[in-house]
Amino acid sequence: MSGTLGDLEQVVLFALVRQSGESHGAPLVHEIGERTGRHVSPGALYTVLDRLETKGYVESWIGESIPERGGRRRKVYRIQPEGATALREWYGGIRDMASGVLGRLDRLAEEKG
Amino acid sequence: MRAPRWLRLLAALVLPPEDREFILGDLQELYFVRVRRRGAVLASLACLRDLLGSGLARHSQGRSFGRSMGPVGGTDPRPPSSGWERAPTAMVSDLRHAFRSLRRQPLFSLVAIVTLGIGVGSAGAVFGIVNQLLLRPVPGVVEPDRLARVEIRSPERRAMGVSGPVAEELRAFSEGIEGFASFDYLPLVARVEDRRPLSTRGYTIFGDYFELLGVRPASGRLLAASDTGPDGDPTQAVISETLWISLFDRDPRVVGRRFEANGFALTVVGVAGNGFRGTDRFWPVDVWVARSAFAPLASYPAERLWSPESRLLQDHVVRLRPGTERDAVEARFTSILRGRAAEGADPTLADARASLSRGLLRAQLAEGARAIVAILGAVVILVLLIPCANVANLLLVRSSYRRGELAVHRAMGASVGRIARRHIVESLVLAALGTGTGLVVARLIGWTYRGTSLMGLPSLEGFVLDRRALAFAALAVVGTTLLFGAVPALLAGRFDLSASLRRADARATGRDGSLQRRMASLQIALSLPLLVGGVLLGRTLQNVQGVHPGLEPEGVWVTTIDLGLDPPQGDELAALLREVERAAGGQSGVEGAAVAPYGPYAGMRPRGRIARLDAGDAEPTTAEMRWVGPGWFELIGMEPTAGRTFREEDWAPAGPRSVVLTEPLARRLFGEQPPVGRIVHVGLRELDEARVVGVVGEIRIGDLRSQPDELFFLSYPIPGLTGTVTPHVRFSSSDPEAAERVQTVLESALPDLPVPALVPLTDRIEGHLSEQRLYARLLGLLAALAVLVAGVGLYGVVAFTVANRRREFGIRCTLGADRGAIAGLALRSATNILASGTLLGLLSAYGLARLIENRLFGVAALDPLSYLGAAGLLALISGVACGIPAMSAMRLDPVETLRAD
Repeated sequence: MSGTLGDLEQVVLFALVRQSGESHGAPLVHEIGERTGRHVSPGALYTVLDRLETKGYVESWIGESIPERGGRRRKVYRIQPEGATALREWYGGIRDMASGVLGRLDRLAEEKG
Repeated sequence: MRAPRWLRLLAALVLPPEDREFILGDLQELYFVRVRRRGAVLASLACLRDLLGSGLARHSQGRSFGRSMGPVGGTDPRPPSSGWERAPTAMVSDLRHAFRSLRRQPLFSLVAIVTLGIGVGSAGAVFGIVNQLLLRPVPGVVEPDRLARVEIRSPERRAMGVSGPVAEELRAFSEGIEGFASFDYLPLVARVEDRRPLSTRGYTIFGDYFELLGVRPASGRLLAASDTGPDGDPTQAVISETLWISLFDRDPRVVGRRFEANGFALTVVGVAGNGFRGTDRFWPVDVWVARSAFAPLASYPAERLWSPESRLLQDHVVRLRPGTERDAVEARFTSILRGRAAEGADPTLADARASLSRGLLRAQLAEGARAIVAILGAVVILVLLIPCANVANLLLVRSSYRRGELAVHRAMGASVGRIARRHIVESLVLAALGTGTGLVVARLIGWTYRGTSLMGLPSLEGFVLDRRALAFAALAVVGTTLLFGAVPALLAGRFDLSASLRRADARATGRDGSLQRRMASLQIALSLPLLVGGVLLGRTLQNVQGVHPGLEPEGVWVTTIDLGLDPPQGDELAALLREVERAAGGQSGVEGAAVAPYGPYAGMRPRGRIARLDAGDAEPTTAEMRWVGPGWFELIGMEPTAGRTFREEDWAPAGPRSVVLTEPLARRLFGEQPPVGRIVHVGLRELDEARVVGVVGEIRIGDLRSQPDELFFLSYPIPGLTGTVTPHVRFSSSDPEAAERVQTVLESALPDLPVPALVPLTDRIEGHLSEQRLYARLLGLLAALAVLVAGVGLYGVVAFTVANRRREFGIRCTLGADRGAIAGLALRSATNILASGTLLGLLSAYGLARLIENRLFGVAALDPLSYLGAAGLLALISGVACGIPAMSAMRLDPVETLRAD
């Protein structure tokens, strides 16, 4: 059994999954911004990834540079089986909670609006 | 492609070293994605936000991932425990506190940061612009600071040339200098094989010219000192990269190729590297040859060239040894020159003086440059002082609010050192953010000024920030924030605690803030000169643009053709000019053509002498003289007000030459008598008889910024007077190809002469006004910023007064004071500030106006209307700035106010 996942941690893990399970800072920032409209600075992203790494959900190494980075090296993260399991469990729970009530959720939201 | 430099610099400040590479790499990647999508400005702002956010996130985490990076899979990081690791943590906590407190007062923070940014940015940008336009070193020269031009002058301060032997003697002297070389300017017509000739410029050089300047060859070799003496080979030439491109089409095997200059065959021995084009930015040259080449290139008798009587060398350059005093070298050179005279070798040098310039600008130009730097320097200091005063004010207001908070901190046991450090960090963060904003502001200003040119120099292309000015501005900002942000806090730490706590309650006495008021008054006093200067220069520009030059420049195009050092004379010249006129005029789309040696606003303004025949022994009048061919007046749209202008028969008159006067000169010479038909004596030195055939009205064809020209026209050509001819062509339509057609026709009519492309006369007028425009725009912009900032400052003071005296106002209201009286109370301090600030400001405005006096036209330095207008505008803006808090004072609800206390 794995520990709990914070809100931003889930988003970051999903972003990693979307990028074939392995990526570095800039594409992740971009992906998250594009899909959620939520702005994360690279520093904040690394803080989340550090936390995920101490939980054993991702691993990291220093990767080679690409020209767009002006010769700077990348720090590459890869999702670990433990991370994938935790994310799946969490998302499964959410999906169970949501199943059958989404219509009601919409109505509630409309009433309020 | 790289990320903006400021991003990298700021990253070094903000990011912890172990993260820096990765985060900066990410920011760079994101930057390029964003540039493509949203443009550079928004991308920069987004990256700035990311950078600051990253810095906060990484610092506030309290640890960095560098430590957890060992083996793959990560290890459990331990919190820092040893003392040296705690210190950064405390710093981080101070930083977080600083950002928090800035965020808590967003209006204060925004105003302070933007204000500081405006000050820092304008200082950096203005000096960047000036530097770029004027002071940047000439390309290709090494260590220009130790170079100096040697000018030899007579006691009347006239520049003197010296002979080869004298230059040799100066060169032989080596104490304190590393090298000495003389050079002499020479216009050249260069051509290769059967291609069109090209008009260019060159130097004949004598001495270790290239070596002392530190020029490196791009290919081949440069001329050494031994190549340039009397025995040097006159056919060896070094060319610039510019000529290598324009004449040789970047031929990689250019060394050894031959070309012709002024009809003399030269061989390329090398190409000067790094864009070197001589030491004079105003007159770049493309060919360097040995001094001995002067004879064939300038048709000068070779046997005279090295004789003591041939005193042609005027330009010299030396490289001083490090630490050498200029005065010592000047004195030594002067004594060598006078020694020469004492020996009887050269009597003209008896009273000569040698002087060394600072840097490579000629003394006269350097003076002009210095004046510009002085004006802009004064302006920038004002623009920097105003935001500093403003922020000082804001900080003072804030610190008086926070006295209570401080006292509470102290009472809770915070040490004075801890409180002081917090405030210092807070001040530094404010200064850093202000400086960061300044970089953006500087870039914006620089961007506004693209394409500007000054003093006829190549125009501004890329924008370079002046780092020294920026550093100075940043230092001023740090000083201000520390002095007014941290020092009050330090002093507060020493206050009697209980008294401070009580004061925190008793803040509403309204006795505080005299320093604030003085600061606000200072801001008014500082911004008024800028405003006055802006108004004066704006009116100058308006006046200059409104001046009617007395001609119709639209549709007229000109090109100036260099006739070479040995121009045709007499009938030959007349025939050539007729040919030019005929060739240019016979084209479709051309209304007419006329010739003159040079056109209007070309910078050439020779002065001649003119006298009435019956003037007797009276000294002839000096006036500007111009030569123009027949049809020129009609072509350029100048109607005679009396008599006629030049006709065909004036090309070669049988009797006396014809002369046309401008009205101002006619009045000066003849008063109210009709001038037409009168005989005058005219000429440069020798006076000849001429007949006044007509008068034209008030015109300005030399300088738009002067009084109407006192000028006389002589019919052209006059033999031996000029080495150029300028065809003026009026086109009936705006067909751009017509101008090219005329150029082609001229080229085929003049196969041996270079014909530059035709330019519209209106462009010349525009170029003529560029300096005026730069001043007006720059000062106008800075004045607007300054007034804005001063308005904000005043707003701050009145708002502070109102906030401070709420309780008092509440009581007054309760006692029956009407709302107008309350607003009056709130405004009273503002009125005093405005009055004293304006008084002081008007005085300093006069000081600035004196500085720019000779750049004004049609408006006096003490023009009352401009001063009143500026003061009125400032009062208006101040009124708005004060009105807002005063209105809020009027709307105070007495019951609410008193209950709040």
